[in-house]
Amino acid sequence: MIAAVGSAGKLFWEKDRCMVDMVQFFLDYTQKNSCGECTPCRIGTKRMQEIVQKVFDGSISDSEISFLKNLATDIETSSRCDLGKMAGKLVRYTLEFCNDDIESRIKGSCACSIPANMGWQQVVMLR
Amino acid sequence: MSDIRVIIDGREVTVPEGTTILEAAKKANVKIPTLCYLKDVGLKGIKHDIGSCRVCVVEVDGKPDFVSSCNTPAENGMVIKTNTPKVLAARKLNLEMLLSDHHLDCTTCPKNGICELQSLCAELNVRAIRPQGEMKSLPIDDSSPSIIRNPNKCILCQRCITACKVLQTVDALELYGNGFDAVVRPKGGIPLIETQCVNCGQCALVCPTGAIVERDDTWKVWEAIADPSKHVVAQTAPSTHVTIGEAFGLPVGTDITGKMVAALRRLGFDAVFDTNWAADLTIMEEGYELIHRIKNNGVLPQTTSCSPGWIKFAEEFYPDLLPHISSCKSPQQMFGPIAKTFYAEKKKINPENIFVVSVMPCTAKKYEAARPEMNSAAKYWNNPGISRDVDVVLTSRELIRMIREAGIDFANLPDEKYDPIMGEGTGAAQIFGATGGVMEAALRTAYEVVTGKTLPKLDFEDIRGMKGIKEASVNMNGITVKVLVAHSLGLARQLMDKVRAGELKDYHFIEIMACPGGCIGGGGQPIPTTVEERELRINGIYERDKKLPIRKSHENPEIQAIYKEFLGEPLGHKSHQLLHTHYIPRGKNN
Repeated sequence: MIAAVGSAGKLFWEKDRCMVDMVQFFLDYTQKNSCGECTPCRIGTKRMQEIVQKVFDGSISDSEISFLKNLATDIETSSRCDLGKMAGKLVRYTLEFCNDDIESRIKGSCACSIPANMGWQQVVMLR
Repeated sequence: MSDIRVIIDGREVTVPEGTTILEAAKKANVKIPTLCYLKDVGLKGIKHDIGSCRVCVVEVDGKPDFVSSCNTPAENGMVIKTNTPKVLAARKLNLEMLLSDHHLDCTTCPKNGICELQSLCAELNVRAIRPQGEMKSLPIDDSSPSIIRNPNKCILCQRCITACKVLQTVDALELYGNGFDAVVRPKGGIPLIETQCVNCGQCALVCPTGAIVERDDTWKVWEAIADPSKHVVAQTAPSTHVTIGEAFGLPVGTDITGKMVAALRRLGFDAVFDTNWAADLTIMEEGYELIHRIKNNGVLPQTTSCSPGWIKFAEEFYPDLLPHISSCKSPQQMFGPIAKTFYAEKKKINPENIFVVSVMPCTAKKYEAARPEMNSAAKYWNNPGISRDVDVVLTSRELIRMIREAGIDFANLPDEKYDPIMGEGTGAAQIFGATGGVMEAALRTAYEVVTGKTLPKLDFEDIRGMKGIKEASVNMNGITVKVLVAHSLGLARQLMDKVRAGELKDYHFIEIMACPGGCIGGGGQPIPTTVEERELRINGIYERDKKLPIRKSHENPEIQAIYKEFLGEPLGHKSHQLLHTHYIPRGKNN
């Protein structure tokens, strides 16, 4: 499965991974590559990472999920460059289209929905 | 440049092409909040608009994302919305993100009440910090005698980097690391004291938070005042005469000399003196030194030496040019040893008990007072029991805090006079506080000493004010004395590179002040210190010069008295013991 995310890279994923894995990986990538200058990318993507970690822990609340959406939208629209914008976009799409993956992750399993996930195609198509 | 039309919040405004959205909004009377942006860092034309904080974001019709208004040029026909709920929400959330990684001990923060982050949160009605998570926890760097860095308060606006790198060309700070771990730190991650930092404090002036502040030495002064065995004397720098009042609601540039004297007496100082007196002394020594160099083919051009930030800059970057620098100590360091010798003898006080506190516009003065060689009084008496020439340096901001702490109603104090012996200062000394002032004061004296005639016009307008490098020439007995003035180390670097290249051989005297505008723009002055404040303070300096009865250093009766009773003559043996110094090559190759 090939996905174009961010800095003109290609990511190869095994079939048994889900979008939440993808998000976690990409936020980590963003943090490692962020120049650290602008607030949404430097701190915002870190805060998203911390919330996404709670998805894996199964300790996330509904209000945190909705705040994550807030954060993602803000980071997407107010980061200084495309690195931060892309991280925001990815999280927003995941919340919009890959709710199953999130739900099952919260419950402690993986929906492995990358291959057939409509939302994922949306990520590729836009921009 | 043609004009363009933009619509901001429904109102049309016409601005020249290339105007930023922020400036266009100002023209439409729309205030967009900013945090990291600074129109001028010290000097006009040094802009800081990296758009990193994302507080000034606005909506532009047809663009999917927000744009930062500080660094986005307005385009013809743009429809801009600065305060829709969407924009306000983004602004607030970006601010909350900053707060989520900011040590929020506001009540005990040195910048409490003058913090831009704090006031912005009040302005934007921030009532919660929704993003929560890890916070940076980095050690506080208190290695420098001048400047304390608390990286946990840093919002990475990088204004300090622009001040250090572009304005001052010292380049001691850097942005290091990625993502959440990014920090502003001294280059190479070493303690500030080990870098080429010159302690000028321009970084502290522009820091919006408590991340870079002056070292607070006020408690040392309270302790000395409380000690009955100590005779605590104050000296007040020329520029402080027109800056302290700002903090107490008086117009910028107000002459508060009499009130400052009254305040210092009420704080409990045993004697209140003026660094202006020492500035007059400096002019005598430095003027005579210049005449001596010209007559005896000494190293020319001679440069001034009263700015300790400039001195360290020269030691770091121009160690080969140190012979150009006047051997005169700065007025602050001339005052100290005289207080512990001449004054002590005159008043029959044991110099071991004299405690000298200076009130300075300057963070670098703290470093200067701490320099090992600034210990002339102890050497003079051959008595290690005598403390350093200047015991404590307070910046303007620290004195303001002491006055507040003591509950003194500054604005309504009566005017009081300085104590005699070291309290009389002339107009020439007063203008030391502004760029070009030392030069003008030196010319006023040198002209009359060399020619024996009275100077027809005392005001040297050419070398005054905030313009860049300034120049003048004066004919003295057939010699055309050519002088240059630079303020800020970036401009100093331009001149010193020319000196190094041998291009300034026909110049005699160069005045260099580390800070833009001179001491009135020093790193220890009240915050804010913008270009506008600097200009108003400069006006205040020259107004005070105009109204003083004596405007030339060599006519100061207390200066005449010290030469008659104690020093003998300028550049004499005692002067060399107490009033002159040497410099230390530093930098990577020394």
